[in-house]
Amino acid sequence: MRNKLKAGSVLLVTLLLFAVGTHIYSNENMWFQGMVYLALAQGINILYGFTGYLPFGYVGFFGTGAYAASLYMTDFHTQPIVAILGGGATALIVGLLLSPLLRLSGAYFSIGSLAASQMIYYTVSNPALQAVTNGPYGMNLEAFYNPTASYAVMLVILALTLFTTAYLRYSRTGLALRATREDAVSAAMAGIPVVRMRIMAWLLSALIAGLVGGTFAWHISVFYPNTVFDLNVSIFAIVFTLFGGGASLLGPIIGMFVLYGLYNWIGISAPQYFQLIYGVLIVMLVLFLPNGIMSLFRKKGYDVP
Amino acid sequence: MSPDYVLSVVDVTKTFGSFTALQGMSFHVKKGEILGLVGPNGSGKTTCMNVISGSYRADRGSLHFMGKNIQRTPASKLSHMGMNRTFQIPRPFKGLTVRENLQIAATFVRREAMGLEEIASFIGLEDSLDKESGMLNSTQQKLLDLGRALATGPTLLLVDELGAGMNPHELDITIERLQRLAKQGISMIVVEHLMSFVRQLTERVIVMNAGKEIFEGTLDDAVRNEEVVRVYLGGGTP
Repeated sequence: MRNKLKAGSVLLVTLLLFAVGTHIYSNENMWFQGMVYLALAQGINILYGFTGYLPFGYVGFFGTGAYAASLYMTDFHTQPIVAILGGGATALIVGLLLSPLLRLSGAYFSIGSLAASQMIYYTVSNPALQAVTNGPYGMNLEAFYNPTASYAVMLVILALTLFTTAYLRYSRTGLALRATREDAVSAAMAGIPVVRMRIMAWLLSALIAGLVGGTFAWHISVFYPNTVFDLNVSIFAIVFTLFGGGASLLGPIIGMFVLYGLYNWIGISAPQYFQLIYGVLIVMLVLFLPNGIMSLFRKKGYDVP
Repeated sequence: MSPDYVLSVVDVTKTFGSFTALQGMSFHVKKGEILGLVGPNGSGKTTCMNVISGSYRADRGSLHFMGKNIQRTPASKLSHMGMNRTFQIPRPFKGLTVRENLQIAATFVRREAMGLEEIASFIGLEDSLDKESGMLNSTQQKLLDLGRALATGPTLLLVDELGAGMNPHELDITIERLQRLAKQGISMIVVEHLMSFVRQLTERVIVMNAGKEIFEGTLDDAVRNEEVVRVYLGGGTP
């Protein structure tokens, strides 16, 4: 009960902040991207935090969702929301096709997923496919442009994502996923269907990235392949999660607010200082706090949601 | 096949590339029996445990547990059927607490088993329930493996070198605990190097060498057996 209360209040405060944020600070784009990164960070959290599989190529699902949703809108004239759901479904199918990657582990999996995302990127941006994907010239959704509606949809997707993470944080499913992360053999002996659980987490994170990608495409309405397949998207989401701490609801949220805040504060005006601070921060983190900020509180005995 | 057998292993062979780790192993375990599995290092004891518990798949032969063919049954299913094990090198969920370790097994395998508190005091970790299991010493981690296995309410327990690294006092307690489990009707296969441990626990042992069974009987007869002595103490090849 206390757990539900804690998780619920974290959820509520975060969502409220994004709901009214534009009235506090009018840069809507910043708030929107914050939601995008937070949802992606939670997607990484579901896979990496709970199962230990770190997908460097996570952006592949994001790009897939963005392109699929855009194509459903432009070529099939579907409603943006239906197109976004289609983008999520497409990312899910791509995830299913790529699920054999989970046979790999550790760095091999990370590199494998990175290669897979590059494959998708080079396929989509290939000039030979210009008739279908418009190749390197990107997509134009100006006819569907609606910043208010897309902002609201993103808020809903973020809410669902946060809710999913909160569920995993406190449910036996989440506990089982963490067990497979710690030791797959023991997990099997404890009666956990290890492979099925991992694939479930993988598909869930793919679905989230697909939905977020679709909404992102709708919101910015004009983009190029290297916008939505930009590796920095993966890296940002991963660093936010690592900074805060995986397998928790609050970790990626803290990571996003601190680091994305830092990025917006000095990253654009003084990029050289930002990159210096960022680099130092990551090195310090890996050296001294590999389980993120949240592990500090956990060590002190606080049960972090 | 007698219905009294909890486990029967018939002509099981397992190879890794060109190396034959198990060569036509056959034996059975009766209900409530503690069977000892001994042999020099590399004789295939742990491989045998891994094949039975579903970590490896046998290349040839048959395995039946409670009358059911388990040759292709994955480990996660076996635990639901009532088989569980401990590991030579302990494998707790290190980042999780002792309580969570036990909880996972108890919630995922819904068989009749001891309660969590009961298990915790049985393995002597009742005061460490909220401790991260990675912080326990290796004996405690081994006992936690045992506790996690017990939380699944097993009918057959594979105990892989539980005694290694324990001091004499801990060994005595462990022997007493395993005997109590056997009295409750849990069958066991005990792999062990410590002969005193095996002697106190088992009536029947199987001695293995190079993937084959070379002796079956009581431990006292085993130490009088020429081949067993030769395998353990060395000597010319026959």
